Amino acid sequence: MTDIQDRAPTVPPAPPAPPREGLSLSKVLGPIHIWGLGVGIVLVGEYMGWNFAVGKGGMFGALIAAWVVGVLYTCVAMIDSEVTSTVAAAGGQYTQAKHMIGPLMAFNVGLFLVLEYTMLEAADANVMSYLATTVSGQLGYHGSVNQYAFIVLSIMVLAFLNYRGVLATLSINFVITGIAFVAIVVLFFGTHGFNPGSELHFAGLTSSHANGLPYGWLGVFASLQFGMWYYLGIEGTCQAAEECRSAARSIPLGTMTGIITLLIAAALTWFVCAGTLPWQYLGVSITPLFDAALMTGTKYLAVLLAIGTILATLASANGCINDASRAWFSMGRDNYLPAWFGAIHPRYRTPFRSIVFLVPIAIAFAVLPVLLNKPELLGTIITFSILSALLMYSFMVPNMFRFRKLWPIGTLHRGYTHPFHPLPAITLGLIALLVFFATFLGYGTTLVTLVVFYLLASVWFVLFRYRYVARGRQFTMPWPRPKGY
Amino acid sequence: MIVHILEWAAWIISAGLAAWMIFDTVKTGREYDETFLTTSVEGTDELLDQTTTVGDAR
Amino acid sequence: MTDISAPGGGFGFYQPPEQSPRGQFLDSVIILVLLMVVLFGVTYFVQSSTSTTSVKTRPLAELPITPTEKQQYALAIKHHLVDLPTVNQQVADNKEDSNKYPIAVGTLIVTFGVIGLYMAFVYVMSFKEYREVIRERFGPPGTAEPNAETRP
Repeated sequence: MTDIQDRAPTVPPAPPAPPREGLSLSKVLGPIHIWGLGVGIVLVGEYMGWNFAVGKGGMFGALIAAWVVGVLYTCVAMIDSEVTSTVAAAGGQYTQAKHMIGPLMAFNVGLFLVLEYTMLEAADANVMSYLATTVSGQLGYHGSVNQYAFIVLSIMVLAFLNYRGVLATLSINFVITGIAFVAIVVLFFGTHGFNPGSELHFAGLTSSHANGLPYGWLGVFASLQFGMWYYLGIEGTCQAAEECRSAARSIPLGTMTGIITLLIAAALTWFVCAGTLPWQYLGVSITPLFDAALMTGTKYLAVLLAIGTILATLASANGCINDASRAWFSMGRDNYLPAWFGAIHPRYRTPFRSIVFLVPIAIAFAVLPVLLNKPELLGTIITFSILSALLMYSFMVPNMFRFRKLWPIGTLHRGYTHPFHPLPAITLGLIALLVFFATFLGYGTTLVTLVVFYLLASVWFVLFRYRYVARGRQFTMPWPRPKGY
Repeated sequence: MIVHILEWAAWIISAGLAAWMIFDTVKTGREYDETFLTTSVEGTDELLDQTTTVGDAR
Repeated sequence: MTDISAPGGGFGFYQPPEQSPRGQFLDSVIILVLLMVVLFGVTYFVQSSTSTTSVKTRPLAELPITPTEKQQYALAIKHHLVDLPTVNQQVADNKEDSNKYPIAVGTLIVTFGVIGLYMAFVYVMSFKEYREVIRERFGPPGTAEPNAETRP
């Protein structure tokens, strides 16, 4: 930063923009890859993490959270489908913010995306290492397992896969996510979920107030935070827009079928776990679905759900590396971050430098709970991810209003137009506010820490970074002048 | 015992993959011109072409 | 932040300086350090200083939980999901409590104050910068056609 060439900022006209011929990301993805990316990132939330909501507000708290947060995500999916079918770029919401709110917000949204996915990836790797210990225990080994080795291995293998190309990465994601989803359905039938009372026991939910709502209605609010985990990351489908053969078709189709899949998976997961495990246990379990399968005493179910858990964590970490690197890359491309990150690999057509740069950050946060020997720290890592996502959802509200105001219907070609505007945006805003309050109840310090981080980063951006950004050229969409400007 | 072998295998594979990615990143940076590597432009062609089909866009 | 009008009152473009490789490296380090110090550091120190209290182990039958939960816990112990001391710890940690989440009004105000401050800063700055972007991309207000020079 010391030896920058501080040329005079007023030299009209601007030099020509980089030529259109040159490197670009590969356009190879279809709707199934988008489904694999979206659901792949999220489905792990059913295999781990959502159950912390039970610890915060009991069984019914977690169920209500699944519904309320399900509404939040339906709004997110609707809004995102409309905006992304028009703003199709690798940065996803970052590019939206740039075109609708302004540069500083775009920088923040870019960071939200990177942290949301990197922290989720860290949580995935952490669960993976925990599984290595559990599975070795089930196989009769009772010595200590070096968890660091498996955390680092899982992140490295997936980073390598991402480095080598997006088509193979997301095709694999589609397959392993499909298997993990089928595993949940099989568990539902394996526990005779269609015949409640035979193997699932909900008596505990009704015979005692403690089991249903142990902390009263305030507990229900507290549950909302981890209720996010049922669906968190579905909006990551936008990040693949620049790599779709037809973004206007693939993104809405992949995202909408994705959210439907997740609503089904969330309902099945809560139902089977609530009928199998005591809430005191469920609230702290690291791998609830696997535990529910173990409780049945049926070996094939235990093996299937162990495989499902491993595949779900792999799919999630894989999709997270994909999305976090796209966001980081997009910011590099606009000089929001060093331009070095805006490079594409000439052979593999991936944002290779961004992929490599984010690896150590993910590893650092994945080993944190092991380092301090506090498995419950997984909750804090997850909260970093949830809060970053939540800050982004709260941005989507003004974003949607401005999108319709600056470019009213008819002035732009929209691949999809969502119904009932502004109802989804208002609903999203209200529920997001509730979840902020929920996070305050359970993780107040984490909430303040994270916001202070974003505030400091924003100050840094305004004072030291924005000077490298070309003003007009960052507006890349071929749109008419926004109304009112 | 087998767990220890697996641990070592995990470390060795991780180190190998990390070394390859760093090596390839450095190699690519040296082989190609930086301006060529950073030529990509935001947005998709399909949507960037929309103004030719939507008459009222301009 | 920066004056974008050309000398003599005409309209000009902001020409960003090119950042040297060394500057780029420094900026990457800055954002990395910020991330690690604030997020990793705070978590590390806050969490290192907390501890959980241990409880006396009692048999399953004596625990204050419902019969269904006792059955489920017995099954969980049988399948090696938990041991009895852990069950005791879990039951002690998860008691019915209508006052589990006391709301400290002062903390609530400070927390939402910080969030409000942050959001206000981001939106005000963004809208200001956005005007500049639109002016450079589309020309001064009233111009219909975008600037050819800034078109990507």
